[in-house]
Amino acid sequence: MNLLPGLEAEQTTSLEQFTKFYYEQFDADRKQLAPLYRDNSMLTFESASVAGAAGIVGKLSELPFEKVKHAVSTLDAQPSSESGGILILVTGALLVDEEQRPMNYSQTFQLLPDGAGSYYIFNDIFKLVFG
Amino acid sequence: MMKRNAAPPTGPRNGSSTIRSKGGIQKRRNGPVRVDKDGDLDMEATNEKSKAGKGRLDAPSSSRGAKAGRGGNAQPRNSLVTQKAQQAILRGLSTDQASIRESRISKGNVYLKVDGLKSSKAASNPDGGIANLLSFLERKAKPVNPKSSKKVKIKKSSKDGDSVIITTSEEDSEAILKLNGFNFAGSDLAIQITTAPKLSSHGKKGEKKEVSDETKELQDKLKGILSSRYDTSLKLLNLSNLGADPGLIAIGIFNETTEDVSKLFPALMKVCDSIFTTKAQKREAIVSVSLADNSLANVSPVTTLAQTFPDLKNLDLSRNMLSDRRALEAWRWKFRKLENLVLTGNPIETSDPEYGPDLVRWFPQLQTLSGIQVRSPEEVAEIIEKAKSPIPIRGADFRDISQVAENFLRQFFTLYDTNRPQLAAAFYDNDSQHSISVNTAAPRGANNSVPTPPWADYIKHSRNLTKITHAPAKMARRHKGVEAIQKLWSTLPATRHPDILTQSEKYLADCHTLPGLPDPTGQSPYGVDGLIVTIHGEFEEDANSISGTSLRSFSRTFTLAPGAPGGPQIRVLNDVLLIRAWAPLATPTHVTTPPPLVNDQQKASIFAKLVEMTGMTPQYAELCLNDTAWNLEQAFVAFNNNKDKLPANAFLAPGTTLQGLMP
Repeated sequence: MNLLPGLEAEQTTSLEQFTKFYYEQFDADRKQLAPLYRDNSMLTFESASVAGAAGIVGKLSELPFEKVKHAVSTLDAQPSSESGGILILVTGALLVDEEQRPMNYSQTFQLLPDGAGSYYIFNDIFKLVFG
Repeated sequence: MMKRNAAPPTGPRNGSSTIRSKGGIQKRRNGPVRVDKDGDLDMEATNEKSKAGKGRLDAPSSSRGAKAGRGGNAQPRNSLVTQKAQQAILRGLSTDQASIRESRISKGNVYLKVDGLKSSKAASNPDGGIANLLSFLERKAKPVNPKSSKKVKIKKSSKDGDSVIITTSEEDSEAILKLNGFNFAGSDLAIQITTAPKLSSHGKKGEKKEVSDETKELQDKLKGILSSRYDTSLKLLNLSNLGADPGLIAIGIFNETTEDVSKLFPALMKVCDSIFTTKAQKREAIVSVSLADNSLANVSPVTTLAQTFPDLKNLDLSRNMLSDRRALEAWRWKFRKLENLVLTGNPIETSDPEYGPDLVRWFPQLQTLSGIQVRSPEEVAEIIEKAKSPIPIRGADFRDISQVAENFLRQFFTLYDTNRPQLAAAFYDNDSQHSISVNTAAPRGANNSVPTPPWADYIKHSRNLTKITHAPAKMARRHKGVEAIQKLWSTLPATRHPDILTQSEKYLADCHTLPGLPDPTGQSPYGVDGLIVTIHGEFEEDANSISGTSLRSFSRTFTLAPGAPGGPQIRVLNDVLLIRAWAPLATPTHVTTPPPLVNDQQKASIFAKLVEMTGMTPQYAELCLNDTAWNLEQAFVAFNNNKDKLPANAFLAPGTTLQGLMP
């Protein structure tokens, strides 16, 4: 997988590509997100934390909805470590199943270089921010 | 069939086009499909058949309508299963459903009318040149967004006289419209937006003919069988023991019992779908379904039940071959309204006895599982009330190290409100980075009338990278180093955050360790451990008050790490702040743990113990246990609370032994 080839922290087009790819994949078939995570990745979804790509995708697959649509409203990012990590804060609206009312969500990603020219999601912290 | 149980006439027949468009079957076709008038036809055939342009169904439908009319004026809608419905059946549900999904996610379709094909050289092609025209349009249209790798796609096309009507996405339509006036095979194309194509009656007739007599006959037979299996008073569709149904055997579906339910069942469901035109009708007419005695090893042969009757309240799966909870997994997250599920007489009772809690979790309104109460109506009401969000909201997951994050947050908001220079000096150094973005489009609840103060103070700093694409602006809006950060803060309005100690419910924070952060002493090449903290909350501003309130909500992510010698002990490396219009924080969903299910053997033992402990008669003991879901402790507590009120005959005569009472 070469998610973000040659990404530099300030290349927002690539960050936008990342978020676009992530949410499109999430909305289409979230079971296919495994390649974005590694065994040391951690997902905190509504405060339930799981580690490892398999566990994370398992958790995501179990979420109690079928149809889901993310709409990103904001995206901000900062370099997060000297080794080239990137901290991303996304907020947007989420529509699930037949629910007509969009929900606010906030999602923090920390991407780390995988040493082979790509990035993976090291931390993924998802929260619905109001109900 | 099923006419007697027709729902009150609240459906399509009331006539307003808005109501009509909500019809169950039509709704599935809201997408690019061209059959969205089916419900109308049905309706008009019974009541308004004189309407112009729809007369083609008069003959068959009026005769049926007359027959149905005997059942009373309010009824004929259900009985009227016209060819239209059969078409619906034949077209199949799966494609319809795919189109909803598509239409929910895509922006919606645009219909374009393309003229000029007839005078082109391509018109002499066997297909009239349509294929050439479509590929010409797809090839020549350039995506509106030049960066987009998606090619322009025409989803559907149809002929309308000499014009060609094409269906595309909104985005693609813009690209195709730009081809207006282009020369195609010697003819200038005229392209304009049009409304959804209406199929000519001729086209419909042709389609109708595709329904073979044989199919029609089968549909009618299945309808008859369904009708005989429907109990009007119970609103029960009894699909038990289908393999022994003489009607089905006669049709040859259960030929020598070789065929299984998986062939027949989807067809039955399609027939059901054809009978009802709205979801409300279905919900009214069929509250319970029995699938008992069908030798089901899992529910996949009958899984379409969940699509046809998603709002079912009672489902009987007794005496099948279901041997573990996985056998039911296809219905996990389906039947969101199911209240009563019966699995009695399935191997699951012995081979997977702990299945209860999972099923209770899968079906959020389940109250009774195989006769045992698993939730009270009050609990269900509470779940419905609290689970307004389909994602369970949980509290915080705060995994601090030595209270570093807690201490940081306690000081942070107080200092941010009262003394920002001191805050910057205490926790920020020259590696610290800070940026702010503003989400002006955050959804808010309908009841949220809190005014949103103007964004002017923040918007000029907003580093929302979906909007700010100019590199110098991006750089300028990322503030690095204590001085830059302090300078930014000095321009922002004064704030008041709730006290994090006394009003902790106004915050939601998560915290985790974060390895690999830069070591300011340079001693550890692999970096040092720090913390990643995300916090959501609210604050007020005096400067931007509107009629006394000036609330905003925020989400903020920090990374914290050990500081350099001579600087802050704990420093902020990243501080990413997001501000949006105020909305209350999500409150954690109340999670009820259902009581464990008890099998008969356990029941006997619990029963014996309760009788022994209380001296109650078996009848009273059983009443008491039924009230407490066979939980011995709760039953005993209930007994103690009520024993003074129990009549004398609730107790066994002294000296009676249980053995003597058991049959």
